[in-house]
Amino acid sequence: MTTYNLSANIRSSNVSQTQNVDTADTVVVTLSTHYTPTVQTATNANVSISGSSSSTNSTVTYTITFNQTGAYTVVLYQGYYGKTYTLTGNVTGTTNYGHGLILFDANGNPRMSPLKRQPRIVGSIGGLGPGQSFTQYYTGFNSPSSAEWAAVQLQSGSNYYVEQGTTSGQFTIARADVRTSNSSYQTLSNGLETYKILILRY
Amino acid sequence: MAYGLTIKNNSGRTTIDENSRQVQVLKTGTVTPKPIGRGYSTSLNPFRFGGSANPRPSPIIVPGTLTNSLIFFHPKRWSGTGGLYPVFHVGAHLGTCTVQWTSTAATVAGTNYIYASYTASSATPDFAQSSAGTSMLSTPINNDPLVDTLGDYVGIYGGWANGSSNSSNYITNIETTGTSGVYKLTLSATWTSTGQPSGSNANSITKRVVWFYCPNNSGFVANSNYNTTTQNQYTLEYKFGTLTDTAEESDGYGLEVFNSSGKLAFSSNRVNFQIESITTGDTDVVAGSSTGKIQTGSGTPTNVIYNTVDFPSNYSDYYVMLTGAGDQAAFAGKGAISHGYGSDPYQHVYGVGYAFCPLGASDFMNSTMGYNLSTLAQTQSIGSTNAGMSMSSIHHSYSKTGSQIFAGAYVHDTWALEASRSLVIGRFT
Repeated sequence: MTTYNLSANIRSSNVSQTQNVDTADTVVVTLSTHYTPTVQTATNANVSISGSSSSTNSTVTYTITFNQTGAYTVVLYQGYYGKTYTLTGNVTGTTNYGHGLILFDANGNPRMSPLKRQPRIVGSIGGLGPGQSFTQYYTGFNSPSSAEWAAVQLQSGSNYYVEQGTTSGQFTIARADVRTSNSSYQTLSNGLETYKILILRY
Repeated sequence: MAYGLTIKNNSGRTTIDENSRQVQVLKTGTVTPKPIGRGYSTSLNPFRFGGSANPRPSPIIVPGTLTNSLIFFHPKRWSGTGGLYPVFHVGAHLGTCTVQWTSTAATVAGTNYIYASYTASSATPDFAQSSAGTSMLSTPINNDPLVDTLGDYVGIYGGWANGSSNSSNYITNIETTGTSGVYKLTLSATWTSTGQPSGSNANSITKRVVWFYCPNNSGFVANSNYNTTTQNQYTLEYKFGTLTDTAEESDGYGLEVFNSSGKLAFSSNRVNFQIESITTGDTDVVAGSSTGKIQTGSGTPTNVIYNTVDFPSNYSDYYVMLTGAGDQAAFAGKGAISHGYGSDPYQHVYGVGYAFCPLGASDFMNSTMGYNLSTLAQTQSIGSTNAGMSMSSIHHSYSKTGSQIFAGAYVHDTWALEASRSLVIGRFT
């Protein structure tokens, strides 16, 4: 039940740290950064954010907990300058199932477990974009946590992509940086204005 | 919650809820991902080629629809044991074809089945390049009439709606018969006395197809781990999952959950994709300050996201879920790409696709899958003790001089095509 307090500054450079833990331990990482870095990778670890910031030279705190033994990796990405914070280590101790339901097949293989997540289809949306980024409302999305929802763009060649965010009931369908001109040397062009987005929970 | 069952783990994440549905893997198979764009080097290709001197990828029909099916795939060794650890680069194109069921016997009033034959049309890709051209074959392969159209409508707006008790007649089950090419289709509604005669066409069913392909010649020759000891020893294994109302096993025990519409939402008698990690990245291509250039330098998003797997020694168990489709370095010619962005600002090639880096291979070699802008890192090293997968999520291709496409011309055209920014890795258990 140890809490490890780590800190790092990723405002202008990448930082990597290592911390070995027990399943009952908690790691609190305080980042000096810009805005609120996103959780780019969380393998064998749970990450929650506090102190989100919408400005440069910010300080954001991440609390990391663990369920099962083995190696873990957490990567936090600061998009303002494209820098990352990487935390790795090994988890030892007793597997912490917490609560939930575990189902096994006849051979003892888990078909459902609090530690195993599978994609479940919730629904889909599609249409013709308005030529700019817009907010898409979807009941229940990002609730209770954005960590168990995903919106996946399936339209090949679309100018639109998904910015999930963390706000309940909505996400952003962003339009790529498209330059339209008649020049044969235009840089970004020719995408489709249609989108088809699959809503998943996992 | 009106119906169903919600189960959460100790992180507050649901493993079952009342509004979402698990997919059932209906179709599994293997295919050789063949190149588009340029030629290839047979002697260096780890995928299993043979026959044609100019092989092109073929489409495979995906059961379900675009928005109720999921696609998973990974390289699979089918022969041999030797060689170093080849890094695999695989991309996918999506498209459509139509499947036509035609009755082979008149229906019987009061029954809910019909005997019919199966025909699949040529496939058309969703996205076709404007100037360079993508050479893909159009005849679907690996057709499985028993699953390709399960759950699809054969009677809405005409077709087999006529003579049926329901205008939304759909397929609930497909069986073989004693006659080759004839199948017994069980439908959601019963036939009236009018029914259908022999030789009548159901509604044409639009199906999603996927072409799996490998990169062009440059990918092979640039990968130092491709050699004769891994030649022709790998194939690509795929699994297509879609929403159905049937469990795939009949053990007689376990747990099944239905939603408020009576649809099966979860069954423990299904082998399912268990996600180990979902990695998202702020990938983008950003227009520069003047026409013909893209933004580079500090703060510019990268085009590649990646992650390692928890159990690298079991790497062959891992699959990636397809979340992005498009060209993968279609124009990156062998030795023709300049890495000097500063000296030639018009050469930059990105691609959409996936790289599989098994244990011992050390890096993804992204520069050979269409990531050639030299001002940013072209590959990621994960070390010799890790294994992982990476995703290049944006297709962008432009060249004023230098980058040679397969036909010998030069690319003066561009695309900035999005894919998902999500890399989903997991195993089937």
